Amino acid sequence: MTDMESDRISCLPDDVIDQILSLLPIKDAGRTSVLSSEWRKKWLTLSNLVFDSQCVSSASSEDPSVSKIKFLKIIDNVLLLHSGPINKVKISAGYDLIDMNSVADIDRWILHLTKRSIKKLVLDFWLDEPYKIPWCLFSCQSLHCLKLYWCSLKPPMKFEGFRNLKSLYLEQVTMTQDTFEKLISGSPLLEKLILWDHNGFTQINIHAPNIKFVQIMGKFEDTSFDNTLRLAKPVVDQTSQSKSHGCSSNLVKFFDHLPNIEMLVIISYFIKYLFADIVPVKLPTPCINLTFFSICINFNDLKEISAVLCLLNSSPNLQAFTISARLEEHADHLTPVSYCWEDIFLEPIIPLKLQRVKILDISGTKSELDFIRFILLYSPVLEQMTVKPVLNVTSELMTELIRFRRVSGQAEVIYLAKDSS
Amino acid sequence: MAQEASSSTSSKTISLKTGDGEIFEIEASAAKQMKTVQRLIDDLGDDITIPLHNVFSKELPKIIEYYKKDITGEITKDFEAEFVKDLNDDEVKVLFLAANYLDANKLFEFLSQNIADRLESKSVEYVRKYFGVENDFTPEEESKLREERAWSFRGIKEDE
Repeated sequence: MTDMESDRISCLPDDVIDQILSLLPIKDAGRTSVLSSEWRKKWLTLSNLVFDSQCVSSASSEDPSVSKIKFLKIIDNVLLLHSGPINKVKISAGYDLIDMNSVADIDRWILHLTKRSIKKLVLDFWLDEPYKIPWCLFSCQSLHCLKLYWCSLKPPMKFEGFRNLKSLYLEQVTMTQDTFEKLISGSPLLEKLILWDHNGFTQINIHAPNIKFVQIMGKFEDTSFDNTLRLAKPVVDQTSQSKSHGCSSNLVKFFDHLPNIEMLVIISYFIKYLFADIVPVKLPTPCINLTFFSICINFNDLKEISAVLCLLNSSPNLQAFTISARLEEHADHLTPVSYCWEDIFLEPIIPLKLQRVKILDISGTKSELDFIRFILLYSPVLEQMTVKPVLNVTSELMTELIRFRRVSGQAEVIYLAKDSS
Repeated sequence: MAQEASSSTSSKTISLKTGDGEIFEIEASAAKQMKTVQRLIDDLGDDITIPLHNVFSKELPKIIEYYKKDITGEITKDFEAEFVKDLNDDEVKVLFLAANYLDANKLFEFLSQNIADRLESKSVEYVRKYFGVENDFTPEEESKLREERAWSFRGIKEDE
């Protein structure tokens, strides 16, 4: 190293030190407090804190209660000595570090953090019962981002939402419908919502004017989107069928509030819910921005096939889709359903602009083949169709596919055998 | 004088002059990613050779290589791993400081993560030498602090 270089290196700008410190695991960052008084100051004002198993290096023979005490002490030590606002805290630990005995401590830490203007909080631990979020968190208006796993939310009556919340992730969280709605509609800046396997309510109503991204996976009876004009990419996975048949026109309700939808992903049973009524030939308003969708359907249910055709007729700018065949619980997929081609596979009422299509997990039934035949027949600009069977259906399927007339001169049909990816 | 080959006539190139007097060419779109350079271009115009007093001929080509890949939109984890594979800790530090000076955000963030990874589990002495930090604690103060933070020293091999 030349003299010039070593001079340059020794004056490390402040923001550079901050950047490095924020990326070091807490254990290594803690050691830097010994470097010099300057670094000690920096350590004490570190604003992103991640407490996880990396903090505690325990010998495998160590008594688990000792590791738990260590973990607790570290978090106490850091939070107590720390000064200044705290930007982000993540507590991510298994049962070896946090158990039901730690609940009072967790409550205490959260109370402390609410007083330090915390912006992003991640609680990732799994106790015997869902962790009850303490009331102090519900009045913490500095929150921008909240990520909770296996918790229960029971806010006080006066809870009205989080004014500054932009991103919300809830996995296996228990709450009432009322709490969920207050949370969503009372957080006007909310842009991103991920709801996985919620508990405690079956009707998901989303009133969120700024929301751009929604992902829902779980069991529910009914869903509605209201005033969600900016939502472009909903992902809905309804993991079990609605018991009630819902009100009519679930479909219109759904698409009406999503005029700017660009991409749609619906998995498992949601399509059954949407098209609970008579399936129209096309939707009342076309989805002009929709360029891609991904759907699971039961090819043995003619209504669901008609539902896909309805979507195709309503999306003038659709470029690609992926369809996966869904096996119903009652294995009725073995008995072929009978129909006339003319009744189901009507010529599309708008020209299809499909370029890429994927059809997955099929078993080679008549309705599946007819659907493929239909797509090849009516997609003049098709470039690629990928077909992947679920069983190692023999070359008969392949022969059939090659036989089908393709209207697009450049269409490539790719058949993926079971062992290829 | 080292000269990088000029790109096609349709895209503009900018000339950069390092602190040790060598000249390198980059595309205007790459220059936009380095805010310091862009500010200088805004002030001095894009026909003049832009002087970069704090960046030297040893590191600038590597930085240019990174942003060349970036403007084609292809920076993958593999590329980044390859990019730092043969660099020692000091070389990474020099690049990192240059990226900071040039206000080249993407490279700065990537290299800061790389440095943090390299410093994990290193001793205090190593980090002191690495950043050229002067220890202004008395031996008593230091040992008291080490005791306070005993949990962060567990399992670390000190070299003193």
